[in-house]
Amino acid sequence: MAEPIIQTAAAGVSLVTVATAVAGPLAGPYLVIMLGSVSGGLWALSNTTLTTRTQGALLMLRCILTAVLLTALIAALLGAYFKIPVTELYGVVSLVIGMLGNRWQDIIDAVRDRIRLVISTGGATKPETGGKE
Amino acid sequence: MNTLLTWEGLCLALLWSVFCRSVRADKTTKLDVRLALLAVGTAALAGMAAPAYGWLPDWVTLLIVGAIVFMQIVMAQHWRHGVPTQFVKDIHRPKRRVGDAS
Repeated sequence: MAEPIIQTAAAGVSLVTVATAVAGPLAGPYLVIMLGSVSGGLWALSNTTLTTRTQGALLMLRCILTAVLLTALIAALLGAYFKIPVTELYGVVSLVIGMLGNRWQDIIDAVRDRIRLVISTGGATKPETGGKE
Repeated sequence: MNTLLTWEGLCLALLWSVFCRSVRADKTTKLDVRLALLAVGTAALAGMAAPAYGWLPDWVTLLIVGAIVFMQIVMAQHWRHGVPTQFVKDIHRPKRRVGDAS
């Protein structure tokens, strides 16, 4: 008669083995992003006025989720621009994203102002002097 | 296995102590204090992740980190009512905490 306990254990071990083999290579970058964003989030946390730990935990969660979403994209852009392997940028990019914390609105405003300036000057980097030389 | 579990527990406790202090801290806190919190938190995170890359702690490392965690627990009483006065920037120091002399 078959022994169900041993079979279950064998199935469990093989499941873990398969899961490790499949998810292992994927988990590495996410682990780096997670560590970088938590580390950066600690800086954002110490830079923000909060009253409860729940608020702190929510801020950390925001930092981590933002990093998970944006790190790969930003690292790919930077890697292509600076000719650096993308995976080597994950840690730094996620750290910076975490450190930004709640300051995304400032960055969005700065980018928007820059785009407005470029549009209003027609792509010129310096404002026109009106022909005075 | 027990060593590894103890190590992860100690690193988690260290990270929690940094988290609780960082919640209390804000822009009025001295920069070096905030940098120290960041350094300890990053070290705790690195310690938690290190076994995944094949590193294992020995009992000396456990002893040192355990002592640091104990120190953090003892020093936590100074953070009960917010950032300790000595860690607040001079320009923000008066009347910052409940019970502080004005």
